[in-house]
Amino acid sequence: MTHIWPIGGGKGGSGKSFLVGNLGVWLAEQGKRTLMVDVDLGAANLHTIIGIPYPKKSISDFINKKVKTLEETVIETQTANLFLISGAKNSLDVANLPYAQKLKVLRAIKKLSYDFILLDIGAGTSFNIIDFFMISDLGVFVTTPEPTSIENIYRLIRAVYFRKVRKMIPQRDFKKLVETALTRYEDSSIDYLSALVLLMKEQYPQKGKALERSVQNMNFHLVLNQLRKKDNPRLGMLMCKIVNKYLGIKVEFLGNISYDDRVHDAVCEKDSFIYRYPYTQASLDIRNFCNNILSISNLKSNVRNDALTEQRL
Amino acid sequence: MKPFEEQHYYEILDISPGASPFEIRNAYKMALQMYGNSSPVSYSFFSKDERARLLSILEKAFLTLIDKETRLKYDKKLVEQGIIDEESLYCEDSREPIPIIDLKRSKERISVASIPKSLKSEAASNPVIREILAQDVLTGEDLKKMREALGVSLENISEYTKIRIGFLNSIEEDQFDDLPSKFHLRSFLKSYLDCFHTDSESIIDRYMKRIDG
Repeated sequence: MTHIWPIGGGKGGSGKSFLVGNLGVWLAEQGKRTLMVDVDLGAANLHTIIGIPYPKKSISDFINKKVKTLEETVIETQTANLFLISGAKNSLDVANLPYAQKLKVLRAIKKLSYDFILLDIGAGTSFNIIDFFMISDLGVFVTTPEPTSIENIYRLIRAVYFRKVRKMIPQRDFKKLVETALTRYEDSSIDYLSALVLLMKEQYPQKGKALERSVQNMNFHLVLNQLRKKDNPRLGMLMCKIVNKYLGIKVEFLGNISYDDRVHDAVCEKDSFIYRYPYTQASLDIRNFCNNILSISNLKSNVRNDALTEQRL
Repeated sequence: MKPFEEQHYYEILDISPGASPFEIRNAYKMALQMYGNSSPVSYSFFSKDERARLLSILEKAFLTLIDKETRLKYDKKLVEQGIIDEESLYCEDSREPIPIIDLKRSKERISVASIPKSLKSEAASNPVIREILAQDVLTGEDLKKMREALGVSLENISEYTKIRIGFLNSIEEDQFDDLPSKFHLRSFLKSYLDCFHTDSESIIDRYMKRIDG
């Protein structure tokens, strides 16, 4: 079973590519065939993080039909079991991917067969980014303890939710729904998104139920990166609590990762941090994070296997 | 996704209806950490207006639940509306502090109160005691007779005066050598006689006459 883990987080510079790089190396060392895909289309740099400054192929080759399958754009890395689909050498307008091409990429990624596929998702909350995020039920949000980053995380989570609603209702009906929601709840105390969901449940009860189910199935995780000593270590846990309580979306806290100046050195050296500085607190935290990802994935496949056996019986 | 106004106070504080005051206080502290105006946790999550409403509800919730009486009233209301179960409510099984010293004593100890104040007036009107008190010099034997006339046991006096029963015995048997000193004897006598005589000083003097010679 292939586990697809999108890793994103709204704001740039919070350490998404850095974490993907280290997680990939760690998983590969555990003997898992791991593929990292750089879908930060306009600003790719995953290849730099893992020390491949000049990748020969990139995802653009697939988008521009230079090659037929996505598999052909995969390149090997210095680490055994670790593979990369780079976003380097992309054409300059690749960030504005048309809908049809995006669907093609998403489908192609789902067809790939690896133990783990890690998607490095760029900053922002545009539809392209959110659709990459919604490729699987799993997902990791990366944030730093700064309000700018926290703000973007909440925005991203809401945007994902909004996209779910949006996808379920045809364009014309959706416009009507928004108008009704805006007029009816104008003076009311509830926020726009909740109003929309409430109205949808009322006007399309079946779709409302489907939405509820799909929201319950989402299994997101949060990592708090660059935690300095004076920051509140419970920040991430409390953020998850708020999202669970007031958006009804399940987000589990995966742990803090300590701030370390040496991360900068490792990135400059284009080397993997957890192997360059294995005995730092930050490395310990990252390995904990990797372990959590692995055990959650194992749990998922166990549940799936159980379900499959049940079906067969 | 319940709006704040529709949550009851236990929900808004994220506690069970059986929470103790200690838990309520902690939950409120935690809530302020999450929803306070300068909290980074909920930064941008709520609008200014939403946050203000949430904070005012939180405060109301805390003040209601932390006070015994208002909490009782509020609980009653929730139970009547069928929102929470009566069994899940917090019941205070307050325990009195146990004095450690009590554990060492036997259970049927005679309480201090068992020497009633009326003994003094009884002693004054008792004919046997009056007769004894008419004497010029008093012996241990006399003291014992007076005590027995009032029906008070030596243990009872020992309990009340905290004087060892051996010393009291020695006083009643005139064995002065067993007592620590004359000074002690006087003080013991005073405590002993204070249990049932009003005029202990004169009795002491008449008892001590035999030693002072």
